[in-house]
Amino acid sequence: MKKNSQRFPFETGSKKTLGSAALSGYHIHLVQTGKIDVAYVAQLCRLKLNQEEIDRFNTQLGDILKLVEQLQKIDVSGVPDVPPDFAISGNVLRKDEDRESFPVELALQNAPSKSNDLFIVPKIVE
Amino acid sequence: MSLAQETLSSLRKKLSAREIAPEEIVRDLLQRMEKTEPKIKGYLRWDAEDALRQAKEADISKPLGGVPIAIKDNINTRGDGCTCSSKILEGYVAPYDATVITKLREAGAILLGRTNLDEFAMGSSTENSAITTTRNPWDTERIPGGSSGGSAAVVAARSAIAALGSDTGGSIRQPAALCGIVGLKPTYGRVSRYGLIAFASSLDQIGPMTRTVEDAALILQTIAGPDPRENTSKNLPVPDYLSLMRQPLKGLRVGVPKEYFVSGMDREIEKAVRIAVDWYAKNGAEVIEVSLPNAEAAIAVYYIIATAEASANLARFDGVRYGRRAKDVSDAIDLHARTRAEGFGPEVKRRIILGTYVLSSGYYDAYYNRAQKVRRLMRQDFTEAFKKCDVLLTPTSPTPAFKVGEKTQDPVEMYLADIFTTSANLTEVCAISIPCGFSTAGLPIGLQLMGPHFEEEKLLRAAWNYEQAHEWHKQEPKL
Amino acid sequence: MNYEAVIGLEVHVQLKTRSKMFCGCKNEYGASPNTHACPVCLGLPGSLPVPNEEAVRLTILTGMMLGCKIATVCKFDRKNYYYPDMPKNYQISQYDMPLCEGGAVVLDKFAFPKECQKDPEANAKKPIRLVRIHLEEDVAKSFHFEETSGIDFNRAGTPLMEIVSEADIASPAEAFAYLTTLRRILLYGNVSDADMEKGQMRCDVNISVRPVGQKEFGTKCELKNLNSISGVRRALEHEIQRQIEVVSKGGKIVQETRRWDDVAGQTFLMRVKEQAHDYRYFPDPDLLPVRTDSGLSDAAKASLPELPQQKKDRLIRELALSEYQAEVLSSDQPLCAYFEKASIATKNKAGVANFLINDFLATEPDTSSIAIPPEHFSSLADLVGEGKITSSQAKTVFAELVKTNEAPAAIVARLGLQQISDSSQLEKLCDDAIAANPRSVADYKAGKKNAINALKGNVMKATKGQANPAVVDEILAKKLAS
Repeated sequence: MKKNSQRFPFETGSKKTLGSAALSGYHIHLVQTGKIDVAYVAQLCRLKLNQEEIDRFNTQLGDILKLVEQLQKIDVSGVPDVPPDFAISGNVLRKDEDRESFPVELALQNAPSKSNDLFIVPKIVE
Repeated sequence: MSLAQETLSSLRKKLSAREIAPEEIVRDLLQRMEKTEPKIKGYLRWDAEDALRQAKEADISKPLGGVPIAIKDNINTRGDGCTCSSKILEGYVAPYDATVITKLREAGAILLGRTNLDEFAMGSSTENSAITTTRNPWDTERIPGGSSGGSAAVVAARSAIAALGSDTGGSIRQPAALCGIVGLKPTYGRVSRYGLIAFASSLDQIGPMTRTVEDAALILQTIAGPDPRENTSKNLPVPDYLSLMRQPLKGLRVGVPKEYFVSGMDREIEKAVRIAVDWYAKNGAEVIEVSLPNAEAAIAVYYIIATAEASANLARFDGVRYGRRAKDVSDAIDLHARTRAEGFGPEVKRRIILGTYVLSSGYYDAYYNRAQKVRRLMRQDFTEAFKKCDVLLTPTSPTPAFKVGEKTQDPVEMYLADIFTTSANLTEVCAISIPCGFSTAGLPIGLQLMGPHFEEEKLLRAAWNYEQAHEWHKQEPKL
Repeated sequence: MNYEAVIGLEVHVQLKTRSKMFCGCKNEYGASPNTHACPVCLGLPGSLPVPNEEAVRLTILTGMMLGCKIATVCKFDRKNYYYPDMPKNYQISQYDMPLCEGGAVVLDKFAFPKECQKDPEANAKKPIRLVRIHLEEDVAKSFHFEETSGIDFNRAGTPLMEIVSEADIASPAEAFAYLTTLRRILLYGNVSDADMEKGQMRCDVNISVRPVGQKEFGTKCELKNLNSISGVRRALEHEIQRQIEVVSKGGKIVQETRRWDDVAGQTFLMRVKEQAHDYRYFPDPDLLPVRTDSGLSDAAKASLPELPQQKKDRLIRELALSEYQAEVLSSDQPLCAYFEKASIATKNKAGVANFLINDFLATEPDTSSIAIPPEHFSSLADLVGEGKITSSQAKTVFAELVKTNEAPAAIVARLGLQQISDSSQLEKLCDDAIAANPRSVADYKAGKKNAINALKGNVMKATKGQANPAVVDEILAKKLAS
């Protein structure tokens, strides 16, 4: 039987509602672990953040990372990278037949900028 | 009783008997919507004329003929908007129907109204909507749950007969519990995801949100089935849910996982659910205690996998082909980065960043890969448990509806609202929430049942029997 | 100090399927912009991919033709990066479980540039090892204007096979041969038309230099914008020079991506797209894994063609063709198929080969649809082989054949081109020639054997070239000996 550890949010706190009490107890037990370089990751996922957002997210995401750190303690040594039942059922593939496409007006219907049946963007420099 | 207060199945009977016409239902609903929406704000928009036109053309010989259904605004419906309650999809007009919409149309249903959600289905209170904040009809100071809060609120308020929602970590079941209605998340692959704007591809499902279990079964019967447009949809026949639902309880084994009942949880919720467990034991079901040893890991696993998949699924929102585009962009990077910064709300941004991070070079093994492995351990837990029981019974939500603004300061606090529901998405099993009582403050309490893959009939049978022996579903909020 | 080049090629091949990789839109080059688009290939919200069975089969087939190991199970992964020509800002590709691994492309002599075919390098039959072949989807096409770019999604979602070689290629000529050989094999399998000008085959190159004998690789550069096989060769020649110059002066090569400008004849530094290519690969949750052992491998095997090298060997071995003849025929699949039909009824297969290669190809025909009934070539070859017409007469017949598609026998009859082999007729003509050329006769008898040619010429003239030259030689020799 797996021992219910302090990590599980329900376990801590003595107030009636689950929310904040459990959390404050939980926070007390936390250890500083990973930290995300928000500015760098924001570049990777194309989000232009201002400094306030970067700072706020740095803190909040740090908290979230602590939430997920508990996974590091679970024993996954017996779990292979590729499960044994991978691809156990037959293939689900599409027959090579061409179907009707959108009429060009429908394809471009939502384009923020279009011209001569093309989607227009600022010039792409190679 | 006005038509708006009737169930889908009772309206279908009256329509088939030609006692009423579809237009009457629509008009009644429109009246109800006018009256309640200023307080509830569950709908983002609706088109009265179009609904009346559909009503005139409705074919009542079809299974859902003549019945209006509200649609969560993340399901593509041709010619209508599909905002996902986000600024980034302002102005987007869907050029195609989601498969479930095609199926609803073919079944004669009337599509009336688009409901509010947490932006891109990310949230547990609908407060992350960039458009409006929906209120819980039972106490308008409180949230309806999320992300399908709009759908839950309008069904509870009787300003919709039934609605479609989507569920990635509990987004159908948790708002259903908080609003005192029925919400069903089908087995992953049971209902087509084609046309549902993706949040987490391996977790998302579309499902019915209704006032009764029978209504949910009726809708599930229509929308379930394989879809050649979705590679992950399962090619299995759809059983006759309605007749299987009406089987007596005798012989049904109900498993109660001990990890879901811990000291420190909300007393009233625990009490209501335990009373329900006793009811099952006394009315023909065999109740046993089971264990799901990796239950605690659910939230952590969920927030790694769901955000990782979401970070890729939301990459397409870049201002190139649809949606809003930032003004005066200088180059491609600027186009993408500013469009997305301006178009996405903070919760969406947080999840995209987290998701990108857990997939990034050097972190993939420690986070994403590891989470997938723990997920497999969880699946094993459920497989083992379902050898001993037919359904699992747990609370749906750790708390009743909380106040608007109560949990918005701390994302982690909000995430914990999903603690009982995420495991069903991670293990791909089917799950339903049904009302099982009220708190002393008069707030609904929900009970969750989880069933084995593609055996929704077990859920429906367990749920229907309980429902019919109680009056929870007949209670209406005072509006 | 002598330097050597170390080259690896990454070739992207558009597969010849009817529909796109993950949706049913038509896979067609040159259509009006955005007329082959749908929610899937436009990356509309809510759309989902479903893989094209034929694209998988063709990739397995290619792997089989190149001697790769075919994976029993493979899967698709998302390759995440942002670019305006990407409908989803991730590309569905294959990362750690590709369809094919290993294999090789063996460099054939005739695949080298003409002027290099006598070099030892061209005759080494060197195998260029492959790392892998995987399946993915193509991106959209952009057109560039003054201040904007326009994007056409017709190409987005086209099935694309990526063939990655080891860094086994040692020279621009080998790279040329590699691409030529690879292209030929792709055409053989009817996998792709592989026309580089249409973007059906695209090539990126990784090139570094190092002192001869050094084991460690030098720093490599990636070259892009290579639009033809000879362009690849030119770009490599230039880039190798550039790198050698830098290194031999004591400088360092910076790892960068350079763009080849064929007009300027130079490579230029490209703007850096992503600082670090963190593609954040993860298995695509929208797609089920694919098994090749439940029918796809069998289907691929069933359509395995005789490969170019095998065909060449067989033509030489069974039909006694020369290496050159076998090369020309095997390099043109439809022509070769025609040849096999055209030579079936005759023993004189080499003769048919010659007609096709020397005479027919000179007319610049469309070898994929030859109007001449193939049996006519057999007949023609027989006529020559049996001595009924001379080879120069055959050329006349051939010219008529191309024009009218008439049976050669009929042409010969019509033009009265029967070769005269009848000795009694020829005896008389020889006598006439001897009588008319006493000086040549005297020269011949005096030892000038070549003088017989004048007499022979006389007979040929008298018969308007229709006399069988071998028989005339014989008769004259006999008469002059006495």
